[in-house]
Amino acid sequence: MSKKTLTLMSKDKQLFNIEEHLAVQSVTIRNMVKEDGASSVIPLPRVDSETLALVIEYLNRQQAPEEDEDYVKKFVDERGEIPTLLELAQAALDLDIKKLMDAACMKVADLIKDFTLEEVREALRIENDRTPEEEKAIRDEFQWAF
Amino acid sequence: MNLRSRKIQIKQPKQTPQINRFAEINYEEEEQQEEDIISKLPDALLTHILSLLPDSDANRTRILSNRWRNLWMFLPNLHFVMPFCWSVGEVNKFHDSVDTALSIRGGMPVDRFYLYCSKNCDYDRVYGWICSVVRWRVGEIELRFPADRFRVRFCWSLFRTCKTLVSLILRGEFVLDVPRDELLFPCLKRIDLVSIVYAGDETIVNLVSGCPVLEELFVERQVIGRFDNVQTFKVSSASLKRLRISFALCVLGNYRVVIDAPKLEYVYILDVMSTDYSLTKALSLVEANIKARTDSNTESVAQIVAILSPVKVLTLTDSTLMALSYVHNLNIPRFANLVKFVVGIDCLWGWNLLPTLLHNMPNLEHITFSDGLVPFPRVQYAFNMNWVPPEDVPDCLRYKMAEITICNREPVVQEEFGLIRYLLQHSGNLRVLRINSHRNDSKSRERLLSFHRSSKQSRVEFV
Repeated sequence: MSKKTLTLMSKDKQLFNIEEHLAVQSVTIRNMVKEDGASSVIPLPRVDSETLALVIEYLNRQQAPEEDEDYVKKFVDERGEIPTLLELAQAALDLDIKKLMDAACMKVADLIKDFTLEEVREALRIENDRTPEEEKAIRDEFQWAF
Repeated sequence: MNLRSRKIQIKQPKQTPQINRFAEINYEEEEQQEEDIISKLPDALLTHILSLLPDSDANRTRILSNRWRNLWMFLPNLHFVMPFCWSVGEVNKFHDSVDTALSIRGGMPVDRFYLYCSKNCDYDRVYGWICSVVRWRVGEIELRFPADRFRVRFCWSLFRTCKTLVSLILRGEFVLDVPRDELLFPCLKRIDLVSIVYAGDETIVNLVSGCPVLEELFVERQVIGRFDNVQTFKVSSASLKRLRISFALCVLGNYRVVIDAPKLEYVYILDVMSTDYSLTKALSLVEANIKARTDSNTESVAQIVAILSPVKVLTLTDSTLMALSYVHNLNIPRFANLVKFVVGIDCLWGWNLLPTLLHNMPNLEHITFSDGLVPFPRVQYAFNMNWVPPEDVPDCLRYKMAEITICNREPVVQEEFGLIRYLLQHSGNLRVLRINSHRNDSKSRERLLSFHRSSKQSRVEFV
């Protein structure tokens, strides 16, 4: 059986080739291949090329099953930047690659776990749209968490 | 409900996202979002990340921004704490907020439900909440009730058909009464009971016998200033594997402990009140950890240790060791299977007991002195630890001992050098001797390193 290749297109229109048997680790792609053979290019309009390159790198890994867990962990550890990890998690969610999504989310959680609220806002670039009064009301209501 | 702050219209994603969602995206608006990572992420991803944080951290995020205000309601772990309420209005406000959160979820499965009730909570509504989470396939429940003596009625019948609940934690000084029933929790594996007041001895008996697959039980008896109504603590279970008890009531009495659990693998006993122990043989018992007080219950301590002597891993605190030596008068039981021993050296007997212990542990491979070799702080003691090397080197040292760990809290003193030298000299199979004392100066380190070691492969580590 010859190895079939699929082409994925990122949102900035870059093309990536990947062998089909590796690509179908993504449940989303697997379903597409099943449905219409997916002979042409598969567009991924929410995934930018850098993130897609990472996803492809991940899908192309050649790890023994028992080392896979460690590999995934190391793979996300090396991308310690929160924005990158979130993009990766988002792509993994869209493509339905559970292991990668779980690992990326776990890494983000690990990183923000010891942050103050202000640091979390900064890391995740959240705009504080609360008045101080509203904030105080929440603090009072959920004292146990603060 | 739309919790999202940006325009991309994506429904709360289900477990498997569909590829056709991509088609909905408007390419034009993407450029401006380059830096706004979070707002384009679906709530499902954010809640997933939140669910990996501790409850309090996850709940704290509701203060981040308006979008985050309600995200916590979709977490798999729900955590509600009723504050101390001065008025009926405050009580109602709390109850309403729980109602809202539960109704917004619309039947999403709940992994864990934590509820802390304070005085004046409405138990009918609490019952309603528990019914809801049981319907939503809850796996773990933790409840804390206040000392409302006659008001709490636990809803036992609700769980008889519950196929998901595996862990139940009950806290608080409310009176727990359990009916005698063949089946209470069909799949419950773990129960924790903390600071409960019981209806009587039969409460725990009934509870345990109503859980056919129970594997883990933790009971902490600590109720301030009163008796918790249990005279004989009795556990009888064919499935129990792990038992931890922590008994510290200050009301004096003759308390008994009866454990009949043939499948027991691990037991932790912290007990300063019971005077009589009965344990049926558990062939699968592997590990035991015993902390006991010396003055009132030395006999029972010795009883426990003797029963538990077939274990592979054993932890004895200094007071346990002291109790043991009182009763046995240095006639220590034999620990034939013991591989790992964690011990607190007591300051009364010093190292007198050590040769006997080692002789009676022929298969010991690992010993940890959990509080170091001498009492802490050292300035308070002015007696000799009394190291008299045994005539014959114990078998375990000669053939088995691979790891020795000394958790000192002060630099090594003259007296200790003698014992350490003996251990290094006679442990023929040693791999590592670890000394946990960061304040050893270079001179004492050098001295320790210079001792003759009969095991060529061994090393000395300072940690």
